[in-house]
Amino acid sequence: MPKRYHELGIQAYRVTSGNTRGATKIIANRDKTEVREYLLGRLPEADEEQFELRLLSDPAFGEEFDTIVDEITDDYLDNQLPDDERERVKKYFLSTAERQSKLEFAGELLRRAESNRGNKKVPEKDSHPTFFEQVAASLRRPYFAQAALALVLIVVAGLTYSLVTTDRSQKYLPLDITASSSNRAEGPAPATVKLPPGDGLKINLTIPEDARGAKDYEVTLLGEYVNKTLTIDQRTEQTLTVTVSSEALTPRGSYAIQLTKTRPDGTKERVPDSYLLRVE
Amino acid sequence: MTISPDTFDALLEWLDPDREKAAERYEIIRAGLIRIFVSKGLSDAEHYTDETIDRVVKRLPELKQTYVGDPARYFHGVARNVLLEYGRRKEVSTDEVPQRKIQEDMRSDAHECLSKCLKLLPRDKQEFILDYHLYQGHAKIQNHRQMADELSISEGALRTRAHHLRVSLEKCVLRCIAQAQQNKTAV
Repeated sequence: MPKRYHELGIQAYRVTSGNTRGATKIIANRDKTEVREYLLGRLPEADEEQFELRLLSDPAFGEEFDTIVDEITDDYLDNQLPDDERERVKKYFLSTAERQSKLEFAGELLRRAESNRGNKKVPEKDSHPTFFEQVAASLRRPYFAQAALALVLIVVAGLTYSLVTTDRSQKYLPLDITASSSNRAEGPAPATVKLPPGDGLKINLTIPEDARGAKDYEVTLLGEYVNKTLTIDQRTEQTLTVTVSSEALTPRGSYAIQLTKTRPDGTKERVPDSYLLRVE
Repeated sequence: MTISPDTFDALLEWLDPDREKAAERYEIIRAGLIRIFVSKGLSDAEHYTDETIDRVVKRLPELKQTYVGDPARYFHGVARNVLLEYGRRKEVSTDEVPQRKIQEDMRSDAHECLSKCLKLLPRDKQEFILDYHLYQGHAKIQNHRQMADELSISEGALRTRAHHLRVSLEKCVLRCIAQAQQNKTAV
């Protein structure tokens, strides 16, 4: 019985040469966060209908969904998830035979990639040679040596002047955000901030009224390439202040901040509303 | 219920008068239903997908006359009923799951099958898929950035390329494991 329709469908599909791979991929970062929430069973029921209808009509969204399934599986195997999310993956995401099978395949693939690594170095932060590497390379060429030396002197002088006259420490731009419903289609637009390169954010999160008075809080930053627990610098009855480095907000794009509260009895509960943020 | 080519044609016609578009829509709906059922914790999602399509097909003559709106919405309603009937997702105790106990011979099959399937790929694709899955955390992000630079494509395009390759590799490995298990049973 399974695949019965599929076989007929494929036949029809081949006859007509339809192909969904040519679909235009316009997937916003907030969609990725929503897919993740759905996969971990944390998307509010009210939002599920629209989400699932999109799965039934948008092939690019379906493909993105599958990609995120793979990424969660890999993150689980690589132990890259915060404790509460890891627990969620174990209890919810991996509870079907299909996902277990994916987990086995992914485990095998990651082991193979690791054993194939050989002498490959962990990639450097920047793949391009640094300025000083370029200068050193030039110095190895005798006819460039004098010119390069002069250039180095000029640059060192410039840098020294710059360091003396400018505060070069990383700056943290202040930002206040309130939580919004995860129904992004109807909810308010995310807080947008233009962040100069190298600068981070100092964010004041207003705690939703019904989440106040908890014993403790956990703040998680979620983005396409980040899933990170943030350290709470300051806490008042109504706000939490966290610092986010420039590195955590790279690449620029949409991020969500989630709050988990610890009740007096020690149990944890995720606050349903999220803080949405767009970094430009 | 037995599906005849005529019934299937009628379903396609309901989805879209253009047969090519209808076939495409059918595939999208089917794939979407499988994703929903798996995500809601039903193993054998293909069975429940067929069950959903069966129920829609049964009501097709009436739907053609009376239903107004996107057929995908109707499929979704039926799928929701199937979910209610066959049980909503149950969370499992963390002590029970997290990983299925994998028999040693199955693990060895997976290992051998991955080797076989990788060999079926051209050399550059073998390298690509293994390189893509190297490293963790920040090193992984840097690695993907470097790979995208080297291939002169965006990181998004790199991610899509890796996903397509991974999907075909996974299908190949699963087919190979099933075949290996079948051979062992036959012996």
